[in-house]
Amino acid sequence: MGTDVVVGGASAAEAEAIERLFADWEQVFSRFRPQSELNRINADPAPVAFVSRLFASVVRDALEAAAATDGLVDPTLGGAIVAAGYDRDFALLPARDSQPPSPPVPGRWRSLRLSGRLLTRPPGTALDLNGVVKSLAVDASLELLEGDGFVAAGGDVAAGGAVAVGLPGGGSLRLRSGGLATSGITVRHWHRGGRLQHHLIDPRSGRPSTSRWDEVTVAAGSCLAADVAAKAAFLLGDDGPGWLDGRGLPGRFLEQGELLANDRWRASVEPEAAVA
Amino acid sequence: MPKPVSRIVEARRRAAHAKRAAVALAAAGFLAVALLAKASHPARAHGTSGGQSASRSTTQQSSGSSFGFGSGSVEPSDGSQPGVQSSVS
Repeated sequence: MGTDVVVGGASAAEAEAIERLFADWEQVFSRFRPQSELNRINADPAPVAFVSRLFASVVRDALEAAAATDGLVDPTLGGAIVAAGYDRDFALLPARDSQPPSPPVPGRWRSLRLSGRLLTRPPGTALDLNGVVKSLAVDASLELLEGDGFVAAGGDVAAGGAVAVGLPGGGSLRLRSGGLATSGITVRHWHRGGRLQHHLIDPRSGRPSTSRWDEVTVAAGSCLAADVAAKAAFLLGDDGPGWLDGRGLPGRFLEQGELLANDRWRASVEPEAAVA
Repeated sequence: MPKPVSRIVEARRRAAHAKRAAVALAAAGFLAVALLAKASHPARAHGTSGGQSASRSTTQQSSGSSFGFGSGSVEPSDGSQPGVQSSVS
């Protein structure tokens, strides 16, 4: 998944199993491996595809995430992310490309049907499951630990047992259980045709989001939940803090160097500031 | 000498054969789909290469969600050095 994995509290065997898990999932879900199952499914013109159990399980989670966010976290944005120019490993992407972005491709997760391992999708639909795959892999890895510990991949963390977590942009907190994730455009962005592009596609427009936020950090019951909530809150712009509060989720927002926390974050992470 | 079979009788015999073949093919197809559906039912799916299990609803469509955000347990830092650094993804 093009990311470092950090594990705490694992035996040698558990660490090896986690390494194997990430390698296996990479083979299945990579957008940049021609032989990945994801790419085979996307290239298959048949309307119905028989997918592996792992693939079906992740699609199922992705559809549930889409329903829970009213489609903001959409697994059908494979075409949109390529249209924005993210068509190869990020390390190989030119920082500036004179070619203009291709036409937008709005999401259409409601057109997907999954029955057991039979996946039905309209012709031309390109799946991109990276919105959930990494955080799901982190959660699955944590389940491999017998005792307390944590797993972090690409900055997303899941913990079983208290761990002090450094936050992007400074500060830290104690994560006792669940997950912590940050979605943002401060790292993965590029220019195409003179316009800023990034990987957080707004499924309503089919283009990179124009949200006011640069980063959104969320803590939730699992790494997947934190990741999905962070993406949704990012895409919601002004409504993001309230959306998280409505779900009892603490969130911290970064906008042009300024940090803003929602009520839940202030109450749980900065109680002194909340009282003041 | 056997009585020659009329062309109409012969055509009827061929039509009957074709009908039986079509019925047998349809039955085989139905059986194959039924077996495929049974084999792919989540209740029969145990474990994946990644340790995930698939044991939820049979059909996932656009309505309804069992997604739970839960509530992670976070609290203020106790001032200790972070055991892990999170970053932007």
